Amino acid sequence: MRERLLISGDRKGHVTVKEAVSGHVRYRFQMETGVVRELYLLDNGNTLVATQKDHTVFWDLATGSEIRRFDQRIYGFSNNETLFFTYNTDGVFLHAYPSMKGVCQLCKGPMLGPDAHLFSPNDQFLAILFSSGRPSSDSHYPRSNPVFRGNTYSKLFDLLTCQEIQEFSKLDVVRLGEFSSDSTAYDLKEAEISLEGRRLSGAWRFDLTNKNVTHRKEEDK
Amino acid sequence: MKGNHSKPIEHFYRKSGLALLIVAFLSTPAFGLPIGPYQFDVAAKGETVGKVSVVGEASGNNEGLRGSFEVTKKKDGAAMTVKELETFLGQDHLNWFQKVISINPDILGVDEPFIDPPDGGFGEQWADDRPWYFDEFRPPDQLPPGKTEWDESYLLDSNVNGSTLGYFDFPGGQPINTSILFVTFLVSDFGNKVYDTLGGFAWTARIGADGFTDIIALGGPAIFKNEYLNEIKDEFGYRLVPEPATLLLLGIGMLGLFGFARKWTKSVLR
Repeated sequence: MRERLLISGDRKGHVTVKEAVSGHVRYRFQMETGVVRELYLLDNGNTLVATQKDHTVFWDLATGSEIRRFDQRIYGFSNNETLFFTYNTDGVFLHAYPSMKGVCQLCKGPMLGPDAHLFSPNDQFLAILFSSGRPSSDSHYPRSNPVFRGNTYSKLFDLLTCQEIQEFSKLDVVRLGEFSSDSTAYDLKEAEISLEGRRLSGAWRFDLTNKNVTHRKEEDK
Repeated sequence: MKGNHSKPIEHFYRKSGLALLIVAFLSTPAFGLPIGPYQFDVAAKGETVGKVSVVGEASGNNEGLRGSFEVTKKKDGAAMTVKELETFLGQDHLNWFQKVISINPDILGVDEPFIDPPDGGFGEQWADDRPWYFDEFRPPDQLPPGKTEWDESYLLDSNVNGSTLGYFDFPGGQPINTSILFVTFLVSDFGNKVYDTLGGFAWTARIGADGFTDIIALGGPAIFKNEYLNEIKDEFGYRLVPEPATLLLLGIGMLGLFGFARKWTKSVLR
């Protein structure tokens, strides 16, 4: 049985790997001075990935050696670990893992930065919530950079076609929902949407096959 | 043109403690529910031409304010588009004017009050060089040094849709327990840097203990104070269109001056 590990990152660029039961520190990696943003475990837990504001480092947990350095922050990996996405002021980009090759540009900037995201269970769809003040500087992390004129919106992308789903974007949804377990629908439990010129509140289901939105009745939720 | 407000509330915004008093006058949300809506009619040329409505809205973790100016003036049985209303009123375009009145406690390096967004934008966010809330033109392809954020949604044209001029603001990122008092006005820009105001509202955003934004007060009508007028003139060179009463007084004054000059000239010639 694989030993359970506790992995943490701090604001000084330290990434610490501890054995959960004994508390023994197995590795302490030093990144650049600054906030460690995301931590991922890939390849059946054999590869540790840590991001900072503008780059990502990969380590082999068996040997403790650095195996790769990528010159962008990786915002998220797909469930099957074959895709990941990055963001810069030019837009959002999809890449392949482990080749690290660019797959496509999902949307064009300048635009707000990613605040949160969700891959569908089958990895065909990606939902991203974008917010003003993101990505934040190290001094403000985990808060956003201060903004007085701010906005927030979410987008859905079809990763097979590398297209933004415009029918969803028009709904002007400002929060993340949940994908159905079969990845055919995207559910918003309690959200406002723009429909036929009005702002409506409620529970909604966005059908990912026909791109229609329907109001969910209490018994459907 | 003046806004015809449905809930008149007197208010004064001064950092010296009165800001807290204002919060008490404004409506506050029931626990767990978004604040608002706050609505008022907009009147022009002696008739109601539209309605402003704003309401609190929760995003992922933050709350913001969302609303619109909706044209109600009809043409051929249907509501005019914003563009048609602008033509009818003889103006160039509508936009919003927003100002941060106070921030409590102070944030180091942020001098309030200020027009939101300031010329060039606040912090890393780019904004145009006009006094209005939504940008009226795009930034250059390459954002200027120090600016990393701009979004199509900040563009005025992105927020005009048929009979609606949209409004939103989701401020955030300030330190925990910071309260920010805003005033927001619908403005009519006549071109040539002349404008009029069509009514406004006041609202307060507070950064909660969890670091996320709550909208804790919303109400109005907000009074367009002389200091706003002077700031817009001094910082951007825009002037408020003279009120008809002001024009009348000016006309009477000119006539009086003319009469006096004529009388004086006659007496000297004799």
